[in-house]
Amino acid sequence: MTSNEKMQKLAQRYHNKSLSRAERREAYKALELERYRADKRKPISLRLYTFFWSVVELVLGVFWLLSGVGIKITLPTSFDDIIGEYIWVPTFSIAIICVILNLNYKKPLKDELSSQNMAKANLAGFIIGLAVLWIARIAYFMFSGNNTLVLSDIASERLLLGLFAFIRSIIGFVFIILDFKDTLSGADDDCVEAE
Amino acid sequence: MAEFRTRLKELRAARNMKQEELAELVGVRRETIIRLEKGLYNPSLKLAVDIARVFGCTVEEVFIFDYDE
Repeated sequence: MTSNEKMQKLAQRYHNKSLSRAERREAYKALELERYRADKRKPISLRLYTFFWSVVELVLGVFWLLSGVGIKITLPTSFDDIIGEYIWVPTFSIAIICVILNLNYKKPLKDELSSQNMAKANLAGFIIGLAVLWIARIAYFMFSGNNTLVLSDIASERLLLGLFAFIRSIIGFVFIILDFKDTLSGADDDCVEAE
Repeated sequence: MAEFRTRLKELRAARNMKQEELAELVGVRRETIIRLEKGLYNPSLKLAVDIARVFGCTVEEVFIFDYDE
């Protein structure tokens, strides 16, 4: 049976109305696995893929947060002006890099262990992300002294987007740490010597 | 209380199979196989059955629970 026929069969099974939720989930996983195997693009490890997206989200998150808060620094050139004016530069470059990456590499599959690690990372990343933001807020009020930094208008949509991207990036980094631990612990455990 | 251990490494070595190859056959990543071999992860029933099928054994022959009487 060719890969295409296999995928058609799996897709038919997935769309079967009489399937239970668990059966549908299994059918979907099987379909995804078959699609992954049939994909001709180069594979990329889940860790590298997550790392790339975490860096992207960190850069975007920080930029959007800063521009959303609209911090004015009383210097000859306002920091806010620079961020506001040039925010499209990182956003646009990252968008191009993302397109190139997605054209060349297939999205890695998530298995049950990575889903479990991702669930742990979601909780830890959310708490760590919020803690970092709170520390930044406290540091800002402690050291700004209202003389050098003034909060101007707050753009809620940028703030929300920035917060979302920032927390997602932290989640990604926590996932990488959890995942990396597994590989390190079994790196020399392969029974068969590499050729 | 039941102690969980696996014969995964032993079965894999007998077949001269790499962790990566087994992972590919059952549709998971190598990290999952590493954790399974160390007995640090309880697989889903589906994964347990898939692994047992690769080795041509029953699930109980691959994954062992030692119960304290």
